[in-house]
Amino acid sequence: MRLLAALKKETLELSRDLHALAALFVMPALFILIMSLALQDALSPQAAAKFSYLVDNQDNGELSRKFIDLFNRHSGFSQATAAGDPMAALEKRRVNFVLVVAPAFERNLTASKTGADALMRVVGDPGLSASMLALARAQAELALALLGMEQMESSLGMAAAAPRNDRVSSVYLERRGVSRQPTSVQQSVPAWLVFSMFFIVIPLSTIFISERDHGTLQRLRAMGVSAPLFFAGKIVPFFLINQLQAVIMLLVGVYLVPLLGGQALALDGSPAALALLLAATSLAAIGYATLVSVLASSVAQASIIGGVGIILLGSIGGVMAPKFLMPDVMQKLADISPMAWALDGMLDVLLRGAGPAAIAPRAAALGAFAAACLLVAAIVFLRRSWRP
Amino acid sequence: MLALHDLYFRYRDDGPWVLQGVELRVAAGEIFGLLGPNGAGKTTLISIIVGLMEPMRGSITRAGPAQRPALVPQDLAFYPMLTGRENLAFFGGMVGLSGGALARRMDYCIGFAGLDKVIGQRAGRYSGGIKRRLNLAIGLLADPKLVVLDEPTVGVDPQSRAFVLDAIRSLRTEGKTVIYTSHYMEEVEYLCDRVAILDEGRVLAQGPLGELLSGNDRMRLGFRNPAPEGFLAALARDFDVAESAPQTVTLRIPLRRPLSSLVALCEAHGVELARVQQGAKNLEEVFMDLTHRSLRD
Repeated sequence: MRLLAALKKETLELSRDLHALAALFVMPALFILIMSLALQDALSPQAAAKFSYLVDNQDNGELSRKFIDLFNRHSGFSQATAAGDPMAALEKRRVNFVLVVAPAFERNLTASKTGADALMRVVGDPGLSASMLALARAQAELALALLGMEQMESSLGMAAAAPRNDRVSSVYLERRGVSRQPTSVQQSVPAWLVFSMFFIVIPLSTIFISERDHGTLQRLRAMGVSAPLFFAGKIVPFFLINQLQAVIMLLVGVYLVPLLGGQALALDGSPAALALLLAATSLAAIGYATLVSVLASSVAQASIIGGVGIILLGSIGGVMAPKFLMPDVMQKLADISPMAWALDGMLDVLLRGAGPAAIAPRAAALGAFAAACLLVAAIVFLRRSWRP
Repeated sequence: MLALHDLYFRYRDDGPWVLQGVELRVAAGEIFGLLGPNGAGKTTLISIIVGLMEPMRGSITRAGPAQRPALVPQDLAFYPMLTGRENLAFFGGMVGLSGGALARRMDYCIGFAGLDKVIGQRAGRYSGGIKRRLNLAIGLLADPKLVVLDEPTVGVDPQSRAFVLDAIRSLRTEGKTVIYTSHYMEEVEYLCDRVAILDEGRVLAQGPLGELLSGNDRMRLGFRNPAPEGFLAALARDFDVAESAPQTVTLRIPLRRPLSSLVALCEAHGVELARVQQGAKNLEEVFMDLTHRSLRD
């Protein structure tokens, strides 16, 4: 009952603190939107490269060869020359996509057979932006349309075999393999989510220090509230607030960013791994915030120490600038930041399909960081504050 | 109700004693005043009484049910972002109340502190007097038998102070025991049955208020204006004057003549009596005499 009362109190206090709400929810959402859109081109793996593709012609008939020729001439993409399996070349990122012509291309074309992959598929690299994939499809549809017109013009007697216009939309799109580098939305959402979770240092320290300095802590002690209950009364509500932040930031990435012209965040990773990592990140953030609250002698001091601390941890840890853009020395330095542990873990889950076992070491590191912070905070708190 | 025997306390092993052999007895149902200059050890003593700290030596005996004493701290110890009702609900939960019991205690405390009209507003927007009343109300949520009030009227207007003082007096009629600290001596004189004066960790004096106002063989007269020389000479002729000043005269009692003759003498010389007090000193003077006048902060 006491914990429930504490949970309700913290929720009410926080819900009425507009500055804290802005810092915890609005600011990171805006950062996600702005950074996802601003870095969209910069973090697109193909932004500066010429798009190349390979053809896997499984039909090899006359019509399919003509189609490929038309695609080659009109698409603007560069056909690569590579021996061996085109899909293997795609997975090695030697090309950006593979145009797979279906085995029965000619027969399906003339037999009015429809289906998602009845004629061809465009198989893209996971780093290829949605707009580039759409462009490849549009070019394939154009090549199909040109093929039909060419056939009608050159051989009126083959009218029965002329391609139907409705077939040209039957181009199947898919992505294959795993990406090593995130796109802008894949980078921005987890980065600013981690940052915002650590930002609870501001409201938590404000509440904590106010209670200590204004006699509320003394009153609670006189009422028989124990130190563990007092700490739990902070940890549990802020843990739930962190989880709410996570839900909102992920939804911003999935739904709001694409509405404004950016890529949508794909939540393809393991939900269990993501939940484990979010829980560990939240505990690390709460541990850090509690330690700052205990060490600071005033709200102003906590705001400065806590705020500057998370900005430093975020800068080092790849929140402001993606880690893969940093030089090697900085990338190694990033590993000292718990924000980097959390961010790398989330990228592993969201981008590379890591499961709970794969991210367990990062979650354990975050948990150890939380435990160390809370232990030091508890010792200092009991010595300094748990008496009048 | 509460007996403190030979209490000693210090914050560091090599530090000075903050409490040194404190002996106090507080009877059930009385309002007990605890006075002392800043740094006298009041806060430490209060902390020990309400169970926040353990004495290093000595013992505390509490009669009656093993219920925690309630502390109403000097600070406004509540949450300004919450309404008065939400504050009461939270602290009620912290003392283990829930459901109907919590609702009943909240209703009592709201009525007791006169918070009905503002209970739905955020506490941070209350006036100073209402904040003090909320602070007091929170302390009564657990229906404590012993209430420790640490300067509960600091910074309030006279109306709110009068309300708070009357409310505290009413606690005595409910059978509660109150330990009251304040720097306002007139409040202590108004409220308290017995008083202890603490300084440098020692109890310098304690007892019923009347006894503590030393010099029971004295009567102090206060005049509205400086008394004329003729009046003072007549007074010295008819009564046994212990001390004399233009606006204050102390007489030894029993008086040589009836009190009516003293009143007649005043009227004859056009002297207006502003105060007649048995005992040579008021509480503030007793306090200053015992604790000396040197600054403590």
